[in-house]
Amino acid sequence: MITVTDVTKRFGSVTAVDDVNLHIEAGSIHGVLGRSGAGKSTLLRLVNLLERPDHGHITVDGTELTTLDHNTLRRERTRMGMVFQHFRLLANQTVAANVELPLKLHGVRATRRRARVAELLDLVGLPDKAAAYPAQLSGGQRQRVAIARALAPEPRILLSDEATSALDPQTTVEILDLLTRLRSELDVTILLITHELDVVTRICDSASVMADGAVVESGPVTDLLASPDSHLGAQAFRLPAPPEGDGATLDITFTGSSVGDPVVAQLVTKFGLEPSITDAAVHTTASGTVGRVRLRLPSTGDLGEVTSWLTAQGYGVNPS
Amino acid sequence: MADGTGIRGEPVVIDKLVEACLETLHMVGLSGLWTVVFGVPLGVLLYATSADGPARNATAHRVLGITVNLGRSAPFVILMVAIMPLTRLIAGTSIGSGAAVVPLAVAAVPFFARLVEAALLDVDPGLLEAADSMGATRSGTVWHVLLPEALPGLLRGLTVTLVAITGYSAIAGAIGGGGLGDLAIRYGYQRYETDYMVATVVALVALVQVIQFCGDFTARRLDHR
Repeated sequence: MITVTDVTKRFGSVTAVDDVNLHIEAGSIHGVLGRSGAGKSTLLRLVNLLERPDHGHITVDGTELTTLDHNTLRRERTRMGMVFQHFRLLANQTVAANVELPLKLHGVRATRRRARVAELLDLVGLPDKAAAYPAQLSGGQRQRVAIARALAPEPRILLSDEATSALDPQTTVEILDLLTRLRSELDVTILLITHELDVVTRICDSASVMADGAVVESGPVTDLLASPDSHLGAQAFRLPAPPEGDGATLDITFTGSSVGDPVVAQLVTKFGLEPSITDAAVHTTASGTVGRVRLRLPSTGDLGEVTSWLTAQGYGVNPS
Repeated sequence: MADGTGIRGEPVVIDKLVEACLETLHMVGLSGLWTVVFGVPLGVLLYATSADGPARNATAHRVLGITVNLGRSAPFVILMVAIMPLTRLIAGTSIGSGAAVVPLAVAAVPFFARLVEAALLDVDPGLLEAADSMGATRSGTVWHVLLPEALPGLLRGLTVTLVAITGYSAIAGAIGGGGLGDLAIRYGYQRYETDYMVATVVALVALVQVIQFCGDFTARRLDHR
């Protein structure tokens, strides 16, 4: 649905986006994770060409955007709704007027606009707020209005610029659940950028990690989490540095079918080891559970054999 | 004065005052209308070409800014006299409250345009990007995003402008424009009839208060921030 090919964007001497390639499947939710300044916000704006790339191509739903003239691009943008961290609603207009804004901008008739607004407010769970003003709403409600507005022209794609970053944890979860529901009900493709790992593990099918303008890794969320040396995994399972002293430390990542296997018991019976669990974390993602345990092993015994056995069993292993 | 009221009686003052008030309202109202018609587009252009505007253009902004400042720096009395040929061209005459509308509007347009620019600069620039993301045209952004969002600020600016026009209109009146200023000068000043002077001052104060109150009230009603 969205393909970004060899895209570079510079602001003066700063390379905000550095030769990025990205492909996002139709109907999926893709998260771009990174710290502030990593270039993810610029990347998002390159997708709907709010920023023009210095180099490279952006293809959305089969249409190459970088070669379009201004008016065609404007029409193309109605197929991509966008939501923002600080909502960006018109403060002096009612909720209904805010939601119908993109339709008004494209000359849709008043009667059709009104019907569509009612539909959209139902969809985002605010059917009784049409006459309210944004200042009368909570942050979560405002973001719902912004989402309704973004969806008004029936876009195929929703671009989310830190949509939950200004919200409290409970409201964040509600908005994320809404996005998941919209994906399945409307079949929209969602590209979101965030600095919150939880957003990625909770609703994203696939993810990319950005640092210094470059995408350092990209793939299905569970794969990234399960991979022992991924950035996403390192962030998700932020295990403390192993203690000094005798013995070895082993990080075992389990996923999919291996979840629930008696791995520690097997190490005892098969290798005669006596591991102790020093740390563990589990993430439940949209497509499965991924966990990591850190075992402390006595220095005796052949760790190489243990590692290869674990790898053969489908565990991710990281001696540390 | 006691003899003045004795001969003509109160009703004469009242009649003249009402007539002068209507002339002043006519001048202020019409020039206010033209000020909006020309001032809003000029203010939008000033804003759009400014460094933070959507159609940033330093040269155009400087040319517009200098033009506007020229209009604002000339004292009204001088401006009024200086543009008399233009007034005659547009209004057909340079005397009377109809003709006074021309210099009043010419003086108020640049003043209001600056206030429009300031009100527009107050609008969250994020809204412009949001409008861009919706595929808005420039005029669509101005009509459906910028102006509605800046409306309370525009109204406050218009209120200030109307009050200023009311003040100018008294000057215009004094040099042949009719209205309250004319009444105050001819009767109150030149004929030493103090009751005319007091009455016009009271009327002007009341008029300014009414304009200010209506402006504040409407702006507050429209402001939902």
